Amino acid sequence: MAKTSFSLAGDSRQSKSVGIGLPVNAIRGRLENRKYSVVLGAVACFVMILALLVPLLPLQDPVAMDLNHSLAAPSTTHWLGTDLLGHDELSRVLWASRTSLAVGIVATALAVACGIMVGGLAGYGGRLADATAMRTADIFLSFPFVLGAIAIMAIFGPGRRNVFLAIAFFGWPVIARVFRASVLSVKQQPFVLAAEALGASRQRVFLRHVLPNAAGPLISYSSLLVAAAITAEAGLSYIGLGVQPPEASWGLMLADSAGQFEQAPWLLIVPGVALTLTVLIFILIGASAGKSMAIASRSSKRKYNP
Amino acid sequence: MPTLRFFLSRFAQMLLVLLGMVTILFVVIYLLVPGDAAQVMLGSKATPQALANLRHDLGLDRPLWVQYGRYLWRLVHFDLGTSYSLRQDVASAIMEYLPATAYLAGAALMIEAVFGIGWGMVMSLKRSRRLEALSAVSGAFLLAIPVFFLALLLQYIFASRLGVLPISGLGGWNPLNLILPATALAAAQAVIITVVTRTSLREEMAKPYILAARARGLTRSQAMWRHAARNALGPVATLLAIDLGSLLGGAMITEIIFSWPGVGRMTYFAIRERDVPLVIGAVLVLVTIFVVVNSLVDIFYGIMDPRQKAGERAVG
Repeated sequence: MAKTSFSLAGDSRQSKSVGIGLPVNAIRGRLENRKYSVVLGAVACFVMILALLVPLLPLQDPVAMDLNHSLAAPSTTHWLGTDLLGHDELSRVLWASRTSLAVGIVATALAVACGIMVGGLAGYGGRLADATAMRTADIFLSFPFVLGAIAIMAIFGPGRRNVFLAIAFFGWPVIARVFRASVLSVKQQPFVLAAEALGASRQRVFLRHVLPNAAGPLISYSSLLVAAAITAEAGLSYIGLGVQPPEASWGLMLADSAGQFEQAPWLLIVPGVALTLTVLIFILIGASAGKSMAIASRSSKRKYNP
Repeated sequence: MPTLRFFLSRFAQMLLVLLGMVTILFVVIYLLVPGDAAQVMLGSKATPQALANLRHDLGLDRPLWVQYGRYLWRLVHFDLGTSYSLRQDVASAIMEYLPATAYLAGAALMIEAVFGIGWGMVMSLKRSRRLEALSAVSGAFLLAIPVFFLALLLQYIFASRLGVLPISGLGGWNPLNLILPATALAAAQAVIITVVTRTSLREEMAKPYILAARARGLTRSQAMWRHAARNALGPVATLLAIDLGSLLGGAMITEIIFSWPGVGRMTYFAIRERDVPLVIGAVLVLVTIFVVVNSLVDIFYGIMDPRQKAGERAVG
């Protein structure tokens, strides 16, 4: 395997498992390296805390217009410059991080909740439930993610709440599939058989024994879904189908930059870099968690089949 | 005839998925949207009489299953209705815009294949830590960078700053106009192709027949070209074919940024004009292309590599 501290390497047996919009195992490397995971987690926490604290920071008003300083280059008063209407770019980019993270986390939470219900039903509910749930998931998966989200937004109209729904609407099947596979393997484990033999109800066995042990692989996929959701929100907002002004969004900021980036490249660079780095963090966390899970399941298999 | 059976079962599966999709769209459009099609067409000022007449003409007063049946019947006959904004048959409007989308998707696929497979081969032969680190960092960035930011960045650098490539438009099918949009579309997927090529080749290069070939005096690269490549590139070919489906279906934002006269951009304008039949028609056509291409890949791959029939696709 790769010898660098972090490298792109794939393992075809791994990438076989589930189709997801993002390459699950594309970024691989020595992610069992604890320090690396801790650093990633710390960076993600920092970003989230920063987004939470934005209203408390001594920033300029993100909607205050200063037409005397329209398209001003970065300076000591406006660290990252201003846009056409003289909005402070630093303030706007920080406020927009709240939208992106909110969409990423809420849409993913919705998708995970749905995915756990459907996937749990499929994995633990008998053959008919399994077939129905999984064929439905297949149909949803056959929609291209972005196109599906665009169609939903076009029908229900733009706005933050509909962005949550559109992304969750096409995000849950991935989670459902992963969770089902995980449930199927966990329910074969001796401790589940033991609980059943002790006379626990199916409900209790599922909630107390299967669910907590089957949820592990979801960490990696949820993180990738957060990345996909943040990208999708920015894309939808970029084409005017996502959150609406005066709410701040990196997608909206990028849309505003169109036609002006020749005079004011910072309008393009600032939101774009913020967006790319945020997505990158969640992709790396997803890859890192996926790798750790793969290692954990390999070693646990060894324990059960010595 | 196991091949025929396999073919038929996959074909039936494809039809089932298409039917399910069409049904989801029907449910979404006809049951969840506030106000029915007549209301949308006539606007809020319509008289109740006019609404009732139009509802009758459109068959909206019939039972739901009759409406569903008619909807399917029209789809089977490629009757997607008439666009309000273009005043044209939806199916023929889409056919008009499809060539530009196919042209762009084809170019993006070429870029993915050439750079992805090429770089993957280099990475599987060279064992340089520096090269791997470089590849990993640039790959992670290309995966994370959203396609629309990359598109704007390319426009800024190559068209606006350097002025070496046209900024947007089809330019009368000029290949120079194709470079920026196709690169933006291809970038992230090229990373995945690289990774799969490299992994697949490395696995293949570790097999005994390669050792035998090396023992006969072939260099590593000769062994790769003559023996390993043809065995290792199956999953890559599948991945590329699957990607063609999503390229045809998912290029809307890129087409908008580059003013590319394709189906994606047309759909965008249809959405802005609230041209419901055109939006639904375009989504149906794009999703159908996506599903059919994926199913064909499945079928083709199953016939090419009989091991796949039993199990699932190698990559997906």
